[in-house]
Amino acid sequence: MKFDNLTSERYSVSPDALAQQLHGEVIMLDMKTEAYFGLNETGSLVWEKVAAGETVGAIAQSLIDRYGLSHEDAFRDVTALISELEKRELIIRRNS
Amino acid sequence: MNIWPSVERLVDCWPDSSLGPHGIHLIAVAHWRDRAMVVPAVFQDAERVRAIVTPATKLLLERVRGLVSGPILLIKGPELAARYPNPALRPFGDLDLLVPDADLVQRQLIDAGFTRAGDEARFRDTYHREPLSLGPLPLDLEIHGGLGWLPWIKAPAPDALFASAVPSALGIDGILTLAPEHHALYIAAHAWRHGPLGNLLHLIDVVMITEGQDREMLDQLAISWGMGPF
Repeated sequence: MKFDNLTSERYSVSPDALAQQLHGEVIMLDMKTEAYFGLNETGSLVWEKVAAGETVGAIAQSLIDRYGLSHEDAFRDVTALISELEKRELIIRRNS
Repeated sequence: MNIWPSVERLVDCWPDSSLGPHGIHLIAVAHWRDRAMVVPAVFQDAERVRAIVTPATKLLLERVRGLVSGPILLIKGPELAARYPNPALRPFGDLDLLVPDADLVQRQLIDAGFTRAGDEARFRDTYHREPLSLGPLPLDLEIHGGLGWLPWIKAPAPDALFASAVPSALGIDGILTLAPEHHALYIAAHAWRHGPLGNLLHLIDVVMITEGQDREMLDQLAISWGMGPF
């Protein structure tokens, strides 16, 4: 259970990230880098849950429930995307 | 009046190159998607930019509202889009704001970090100031001290427009818009001013803004303003 230390973490969307749903995907503008990018369906689900203030554990569980992923795969995918978004400063880790 | 079947027939027979100049490319995209047709890449890009324009509009209006005191009337663009069956069908590239003192508001916004996106001298004697932009947001702001009517129209002074303003359809605290009948006449005048009724989006705008309004009352108001029957 190497992901256990992350399961209770929550994140907020940075004010520098402008995002909008379009055909089931999220289109995003990074105001700092002026870069546009998109998240696929799974990424959009993660984004939506992050924006709603859900914990990493709850977000991974959503992927398990919706796509039938294994616990291991769900946590790996969620933490990989969250790490990338955090690195780009599009989401901010909340103080617990 | 259900204009959409007619608009879709035009989309079906017009070349793609005519859709953008008439502002109906996003209507075309929705029409094509409904029929599981291929959407050209250039229109997919326009669709993505339009998607970001929605949160950008909210961000800009909230930013301006926080910086400026007094009434702020949002006109055209997003107010018209809100009347479409889906606001994403209606493109816009700027926000037009009518304020009592355009020079003061323009200075306040520049002091707060907005940057000039046009040539100041070109706009000195016009009814709006040079466009302003904020960071990479894909839409500009235009601060209006008045509205661009046609020379023969006896339109009310801005004070009268402020007095009859109503809350914006966007539901942003402190952002107002023109009374529906004033907005309808302004949109019709605007459609004439930018090439008399030669742009399809402008014509659709007129239909959308007059939907549900009393046509007889609009006619009377238009006549009293020197526009003739609506």
